Amino acid sequence: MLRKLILYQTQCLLKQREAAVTFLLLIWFIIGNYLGNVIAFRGMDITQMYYPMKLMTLSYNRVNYNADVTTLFIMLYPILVTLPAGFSYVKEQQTRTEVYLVARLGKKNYMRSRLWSAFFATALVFTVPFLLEIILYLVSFPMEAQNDFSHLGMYEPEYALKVHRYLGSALYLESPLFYVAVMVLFFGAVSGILGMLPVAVSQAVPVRFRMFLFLPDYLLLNATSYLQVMRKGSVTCNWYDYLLLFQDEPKNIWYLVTGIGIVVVLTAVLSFAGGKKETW
Amino acid sequence: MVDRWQTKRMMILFGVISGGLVSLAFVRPYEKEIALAELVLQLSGARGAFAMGCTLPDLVRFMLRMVPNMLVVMMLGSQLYRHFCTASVYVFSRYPNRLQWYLKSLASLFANVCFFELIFVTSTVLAAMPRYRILFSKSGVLLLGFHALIYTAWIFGWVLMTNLFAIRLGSSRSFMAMMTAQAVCTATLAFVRIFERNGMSAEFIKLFIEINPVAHTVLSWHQGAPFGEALAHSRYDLSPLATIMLLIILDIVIVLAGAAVAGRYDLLSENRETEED
Repeated sequence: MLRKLILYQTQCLLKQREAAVTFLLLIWFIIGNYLGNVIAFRGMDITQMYYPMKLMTLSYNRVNYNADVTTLFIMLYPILVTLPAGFSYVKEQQTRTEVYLVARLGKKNYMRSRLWSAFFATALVFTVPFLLEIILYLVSFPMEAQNDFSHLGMYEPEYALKVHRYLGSALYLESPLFYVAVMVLFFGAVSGILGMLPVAVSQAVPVRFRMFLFLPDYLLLNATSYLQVMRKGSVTCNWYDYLLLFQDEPKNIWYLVTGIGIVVVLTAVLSFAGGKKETW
Repeated sequence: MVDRWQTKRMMILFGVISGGLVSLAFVRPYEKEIALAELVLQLSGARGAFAMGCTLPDLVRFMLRMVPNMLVVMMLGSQLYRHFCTASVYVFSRYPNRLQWYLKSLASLFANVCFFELIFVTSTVLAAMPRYRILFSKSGVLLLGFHALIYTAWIFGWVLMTNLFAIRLGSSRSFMAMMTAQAVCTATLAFVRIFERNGMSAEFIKLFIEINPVAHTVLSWHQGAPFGEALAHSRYDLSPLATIMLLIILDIVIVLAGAAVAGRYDLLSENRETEED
């Protein structure tokens, strides 16, 4: 029953205008970046060409060459991640559809399915475009090209150190393409978790204006960047240093695990609190 | 009345917290003392005595500095709009002259923005005092005033636009549109590096910067009277007077557009907040 419900609600969410706008915006990022790369690197000798996956929108490595798309992405992601599914519960609450659905499905099932459908819808919206981008680059650019935007030689110790700092560097050393695919899926999963948070907030707290549902993810993600600016340690705690590909800043995996853990626990607690109270 | 004081209390609390955080994060001199002018420049992207650049770290730092402003836009982004959602029948039946209501609401909105900026700037300076010795000077105080003026005009413009777009689109879409517009303006500054790398003329780069409204909020890109030495390390020589004029003109255009929108849109039938797609 719950599985069917989640599937149905995910389908409904994906048909909504917000999900379509987010998807199209991501596609626009990808196409803009792709066209820029084609214009910049067409006809380049393969010995000088960069590894095609490092040209991707999610690649941090390309900021050594051009930072426009990455800057825009880093600025918009904390807001964009709320968009596909963040308002799904509050919409039904404000239009009183919730009353009908709770009566039909039971409150527990309804609340749970809302959360899980938010996870799957957000994860799909943030994964599919980048998986398509991988295919686009596989078809368009030579995979034999190996250069890095840092312009360090492949056998230089500094380059090896940078590669070892990638999140999931073992995967990268095994197969760079596999690393990219796994990291895109990981990025989608984290986006899905972040997409659940505003839904849980709207379940626990009455929200009059939908705009305020941007707040939880926006604050949480920017708080990590503020923390990074304020503290003096060499290990990064910036959200985008953990989510973007080919990021070579020193990292602590426990920061990532703790961060995701906090969001998951917060989501569960808020949703549980929301399920306990009478809303009408 | 209660609502008005609630907003004021919220502005005080938020101004103090965000001012303190911004001070801790961005006011970082190389020595134990800092000139007030340098402190003010660091509030809009400068690093130490150096002007802000157009690299990714600089732009992301600048975006982080703008986070409190966007939160104010979010908090006040429904101050006018909320009357169109639920209380419109009550409000508009008591104000037959809608323009009068609009101007009164506008004055209250502007007062809230000024109030926030005042608290924010004061708490930023106060939070820096125990950590560094601040060297006050006439040009520093003038620059602080200039900073407060342009950021008040800047935030007021965004807050008003968010309210006006919300009447047509709903609060969430309106805020999203405002965020996107600001992010696009900031991200296009990254092109400056490409232009510089490709040897484009300084005049072209300056023109590109001048037509970008976000660039006018970077104080370390300005130069000219009456700040003199305080803006000696300017990167793009923008005119402070031109910036003030531009922001005031933009605000006037938004206010006039708002008058037209407020007169045209009506009551509960237009409520976007409880509408399904």
